[in-house]
Amino acid sequence: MTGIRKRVTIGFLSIVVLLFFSGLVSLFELNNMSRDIESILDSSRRSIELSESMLDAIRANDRAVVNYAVLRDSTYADSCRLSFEAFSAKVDQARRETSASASPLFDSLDMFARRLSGVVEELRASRAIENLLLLDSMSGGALSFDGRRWYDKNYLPVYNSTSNSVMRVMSLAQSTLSPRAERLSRNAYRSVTPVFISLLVMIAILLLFYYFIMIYTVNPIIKMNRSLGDWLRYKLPFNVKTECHDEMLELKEKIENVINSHKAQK
Amino acid sequence: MRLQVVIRYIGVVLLVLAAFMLLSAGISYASNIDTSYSPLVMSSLLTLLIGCFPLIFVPPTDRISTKEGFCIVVGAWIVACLVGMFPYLMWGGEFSIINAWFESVSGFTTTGASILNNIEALPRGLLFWRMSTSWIGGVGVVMFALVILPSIGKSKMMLSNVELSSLAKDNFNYRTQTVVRIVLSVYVILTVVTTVALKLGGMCWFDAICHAMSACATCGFSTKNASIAYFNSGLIEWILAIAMILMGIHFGLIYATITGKRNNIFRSEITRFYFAIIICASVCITLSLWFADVYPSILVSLRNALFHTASFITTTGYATADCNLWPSFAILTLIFCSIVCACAGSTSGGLKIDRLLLAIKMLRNRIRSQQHPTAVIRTKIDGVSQDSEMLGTVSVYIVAFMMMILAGTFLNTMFGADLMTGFSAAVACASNVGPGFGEVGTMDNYSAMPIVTKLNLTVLMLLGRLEIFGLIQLFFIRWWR
Repeated sequence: MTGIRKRVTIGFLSIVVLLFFSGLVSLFELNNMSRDIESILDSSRRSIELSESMLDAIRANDRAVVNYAVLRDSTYADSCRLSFEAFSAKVDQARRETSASASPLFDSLDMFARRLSGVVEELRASRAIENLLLLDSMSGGALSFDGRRWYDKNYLPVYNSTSNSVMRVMSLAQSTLSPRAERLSRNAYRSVTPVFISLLVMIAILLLFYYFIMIYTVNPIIKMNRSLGDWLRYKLPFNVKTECHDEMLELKEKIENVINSHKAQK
Repeated sequence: MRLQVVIRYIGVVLLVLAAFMLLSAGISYASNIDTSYSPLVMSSLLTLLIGCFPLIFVPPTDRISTKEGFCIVVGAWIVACLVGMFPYLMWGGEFSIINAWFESVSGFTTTGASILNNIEALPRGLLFWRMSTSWIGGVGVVMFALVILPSIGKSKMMLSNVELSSLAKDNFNYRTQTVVRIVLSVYVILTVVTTVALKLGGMCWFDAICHAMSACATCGFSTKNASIAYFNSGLIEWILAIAMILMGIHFGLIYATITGKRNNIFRSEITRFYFAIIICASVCITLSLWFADVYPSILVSLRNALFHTASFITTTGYATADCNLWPSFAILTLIFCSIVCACAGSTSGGLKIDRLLLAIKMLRNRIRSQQHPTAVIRTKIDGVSQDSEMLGTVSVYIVAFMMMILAGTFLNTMFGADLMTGFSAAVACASNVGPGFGEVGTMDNYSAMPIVTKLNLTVLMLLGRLEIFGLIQLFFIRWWR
């Protein structure tokens, strides 16, 4: 048991510590929540960006194939290969950057990408178009290559399936994010639980502090005041009982000494 | 009554809890700072603050009245259960407010009933805290504080008198300080021995410590969803069965046996009766299982029967099988064991075998006194006559216990439980056993129970642990002069 000053200081310090603690915990929890939301938004943004870049790459490949096979522009021969390699790289990047749980979404995309690769590779490796174009020019246009027909029959179905698969991956990747967001919204109250508990503890401490101050400081002062008044007015004996062993006890003893010395002087 | 004195001593108990929370945080730290680390550290700091606060303001006192003693003990149990919720609530998972309260009360009262569907999802720190609640509750939260904190001084006698049941004080012919030390020494030594034995039996250190703490507190919490069935080891089952049976014996008798005193476990009438009931129940269940062809051989039936008899009679509640699939006779025998329970002065809960023995003797004497109206017939235990006040208290307690189970069953069934589930849950919680039958069987849990039923069961657990009158007195404190 310490002096009144120390006890009151400790009481207030405890409340300050709890307030600081609650604030710190709420900051920490809100920071965690904000990080989670940021991560969800980042994932969503990244998923859209990757899907767009995959679609851009496959469209570039389509343009190159159209120019090479349909419009018979041989300068696009390398573009067909390069644009497909860019598409494959984007798919690999998307797979790496997507969470493991979303990885199965890429399996069907991989299958279509392989088929597309087969078509493009076959076209490029056989140099069929170049040969046909060459023969066509040598024969003065007698031998005609129906690039449009080849494009419609061989390339377009695979291209459509692959781009649809990219779109599906994009929408599925978005849907994998929603349970995370849902879980976050459902468990938001969990984040405030520590703050709530520390606030409850603070209320308990405040009530205890009030009770102890009343018992050990306020009540003895009131009793001493009343008893001293009774002594001054009616000369009733100064009889105050205190449980404390601090300045209150000293005060009580000093008042008793003053009263005793006053009695002795008489 | 001086409320400030009551608050001061409850604060002392909270300091002990804060220390155990910090220890659990240490376990969490050692497990690569798992998810329970910050909840445990935060809970520990908050508990420390509430515990320290009254110590700063209220001066220590040597004189505690009986009324204050009751309030300290009952208040400490309730506040410990409330504070014990902090780590669970802060961690989250399956712990809603009601679930955290249920788990905390179940731990401190050593009931061992759980609301967790996936115990293995809990991080190690939280698992250790869960076991700590049961270990502290095993000898009583106030008793723990009495031994650890020497500053309590002369108040020990009053508090230990309130904490220990009247029956438990028999066989302790020492000063209060010595009694408290004996209780804790026996408890710690048996826990350490069980830990080492379980480690040698094939468990990892963490599981061995947790299961030893839980078995010695006769709580029945496990670190595995399938309880002891997970380990599928006969040796582990035998070690736990022996530990549970030992923890069901009066600690004073265990101490007397170890130190070679005359009044040891082999001479005690109550202990002999306790062993006789275990043997009879095991044999009955073994035969029942064997005749019903539940297990392939009589030896497997015996192993299961003995383990579950030890588990239920000592109110531990460990399981290696789904007892719902057992014949009705075996189930009824286990329910009987759940009501009778082990000896007073041990960590077990329930009616206590001492009271059953006294009730049987009183019944016999009643018949004799009707045959010989002028004869002076005394009820004796170990050759010592029991005074009529003690016998009256025993009779009242038995009636109150049965009424409590009846009321519990009534409330459980009112909120949707079937008769078997409602009755066995009331028995399991009032006797601090843990698992019951029906929907709350040995391989199930209490998660599906409605909120009101869970609250009702926690009240039963506290009533059972505080031997009914302790908790009831708190509500009539104003009229206590």
